[in-house]
Amino acid sequence: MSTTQTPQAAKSLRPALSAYTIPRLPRSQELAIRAIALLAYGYGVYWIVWRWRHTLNFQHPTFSVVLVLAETFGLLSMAVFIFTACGSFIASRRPRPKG
Amino acid sequence: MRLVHREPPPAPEGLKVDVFITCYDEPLQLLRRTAIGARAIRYPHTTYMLDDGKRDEVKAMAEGLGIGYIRREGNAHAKAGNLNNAFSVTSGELILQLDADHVPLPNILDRLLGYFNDPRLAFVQSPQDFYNTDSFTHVVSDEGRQMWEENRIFFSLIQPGKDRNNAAFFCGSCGVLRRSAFDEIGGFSTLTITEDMETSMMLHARGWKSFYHGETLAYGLAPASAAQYHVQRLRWGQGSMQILRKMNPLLVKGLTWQQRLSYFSSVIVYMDGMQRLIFYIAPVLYFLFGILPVQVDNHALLIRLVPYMLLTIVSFELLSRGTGYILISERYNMTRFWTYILATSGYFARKPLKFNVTPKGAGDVPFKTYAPQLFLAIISITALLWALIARHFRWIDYKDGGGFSTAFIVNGIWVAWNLYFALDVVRHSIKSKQLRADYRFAQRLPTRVRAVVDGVATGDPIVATTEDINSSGLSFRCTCQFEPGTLLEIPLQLAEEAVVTRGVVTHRTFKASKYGTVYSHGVVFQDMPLETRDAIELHSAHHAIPLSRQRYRQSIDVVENAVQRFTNPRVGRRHVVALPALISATTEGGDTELGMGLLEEESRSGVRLILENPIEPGTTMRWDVPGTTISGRGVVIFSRAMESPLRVSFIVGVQRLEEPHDRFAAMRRWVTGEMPAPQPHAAAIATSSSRPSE
Repeated sequence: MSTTQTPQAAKSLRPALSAYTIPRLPRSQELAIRAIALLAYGYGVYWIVWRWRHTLNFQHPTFSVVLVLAETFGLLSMAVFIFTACGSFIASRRPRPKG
Repeated sequence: MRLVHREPPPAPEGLKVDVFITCYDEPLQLLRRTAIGARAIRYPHTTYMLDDGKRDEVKAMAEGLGIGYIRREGNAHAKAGNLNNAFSVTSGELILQLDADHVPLPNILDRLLGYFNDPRLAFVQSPQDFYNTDSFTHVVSDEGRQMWEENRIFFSLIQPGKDRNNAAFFCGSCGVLRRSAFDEIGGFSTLTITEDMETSMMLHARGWKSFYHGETLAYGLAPASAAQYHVQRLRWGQGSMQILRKMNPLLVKGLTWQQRLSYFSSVIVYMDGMQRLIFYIAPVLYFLFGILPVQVDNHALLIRLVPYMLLTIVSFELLSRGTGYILISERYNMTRFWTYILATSGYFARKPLKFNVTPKGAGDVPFKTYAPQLFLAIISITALLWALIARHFRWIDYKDGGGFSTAFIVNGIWVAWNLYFALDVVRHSIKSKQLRADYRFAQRLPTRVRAVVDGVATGDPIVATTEDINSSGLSFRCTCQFEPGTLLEIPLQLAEEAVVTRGVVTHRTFKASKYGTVYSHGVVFQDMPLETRDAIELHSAHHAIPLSRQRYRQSIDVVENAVQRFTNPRVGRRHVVALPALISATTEGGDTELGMGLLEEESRSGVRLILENPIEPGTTMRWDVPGTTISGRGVVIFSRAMESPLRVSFIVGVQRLEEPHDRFAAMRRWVTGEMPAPQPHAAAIATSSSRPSE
């Protein structure tokens, strides 16, 4: 294989921007994803309130409460995940550093 | 396609930069790879090896390479102490910190230094990417065309999200630090065993800024086996718990509420373990003792549960942009749940915790790495069988009044789901044992191999392609065979220089395919000079890895995945050929030879080539793989550049002009079991181009 490259090949030699970037979607889709996430979260809140208020089995109170606590923790993790992930999509809107 | 990234400002000239490589007990070959990678960084800098293992051979190596070597008295505060000591004996205003396994790309400083124009910037972090794609945390699918990695969700989604709130934290490697910022807080903090996160939080609390630059600028080693994975995660988890106890991010003074939430979310991740345990055990308790943690009318539960599950899964998949994948994520949740439980118990530990260095390199898989999952699998099966028997004899009242109740079925599905993942983890853990001592880099280089007799390379050069390579050996494929024990001369055209290597064939395998028999040979290098070894290492780290990475499809989100599946059905199976091909362009004046290229894949509709120079789309061209039945004529559809910091290669897609005469030939051959006889090897390439086309 030849070792010299044509000028055309050499010209495209710029710093490779590799791997850890995620394709960005059109604005409408970005908004749709956030809307679905919020809907899911809203439903999650409804679910957990319902679980605490109407579904505890008082014959086995410890078991019941432990399971609902685990679910409640899951909802908390989901909240911080949505908070972080939604921020990540608009990360590039942050003003560039000077220079 | 728009990408979520920032183009960094250009690096200002004249900064004084130190590069620190922290090491402890890593294999020498691994350290050498990192050291020569660091030395080859283009921006002027001074490299130091921070050796906490106090080995004389590391010192000798550092001196041989002409890089600095720092050793300290004692081992107090592990890595944090090591770094603080190095801070005290060096003077660079900026410091690039690398773990022993992270080989930097030559442009790493050029890409990261520009951010320091902002005087309040304390550090900039780049992703920790990994080159060993056969590791415990990689999932490679679609015949090696698609890749998923467990840490990716953190480095491509969570860190950018934190960055938006000025809460991206330093991850212990692949980041550039500002000395004055660290001096202000007294160097790396030594309260916990995750000094990186803790120190980042202290810097943020004092009003310093951080940046996250989402471009891979160094490649390291992911945990190769389950054992290494658990050691690493246990340390992260224990450190996070120490942070929660000693400097709770919700209470630390000076942080914004977004930063508090960001740090808090990174810390509570490890409590997942306890939550998972509850979820895994709940259905088992139901089956064993007939106790239900929920008291409600069955249908009322189900009509609320199903939409909840669906919405949660869909939103997770959409938000994670192809870095999530619920089924793969579940495997890793199952893998680490017990380790996370052990880690969270560190919250209550009063005695200082040991900084366990994540082991690199080869390793065994002890039973205890998958014992919790195996135990879970056994009690899940037992519970299921017991429930069926107990229900039949009415030993336990499952309150199902004869028929299977919803509760029984839901719990059955639940326990089966857990069982599947528990067994999957056991299998995956056992399989993760690494056989080879050092990683071989996938790299397809066309070459011409000759046998060496009496110290002289004789015989016709045989065209071949390397499959993988490292500084101790390589493997290559070609259409003729060499006996094990044969000494070979293999010239290699590396990205920056040409080297000639010699090695002995250690093993040989062959594979008959529809286009001929292909032989794979394993070769161990003989009498390799150190310069050649280093050249191969540098080529692998700076060219082969970035290039092979661009051939994997990564983070394909679920929507895109589904759309592609329906709109782009593949025309025929693709076969990996990976042999050198003779390329010529057809013009009005006849064929023009373009030289040799690599024919990667062939399918009924065309071929994919890797060339050093692009071919204009629309060009009619011919290809011919000597020694096989593969040849044809087609039109170039695309020429796409694949770049590494050293060179550009081009993927060229060619659509076949003439359909094969017989569409069912392959199927008929398969039915009759008749394979084409291996073609005589065309040693002289020039003569093979005159072979008539099919």
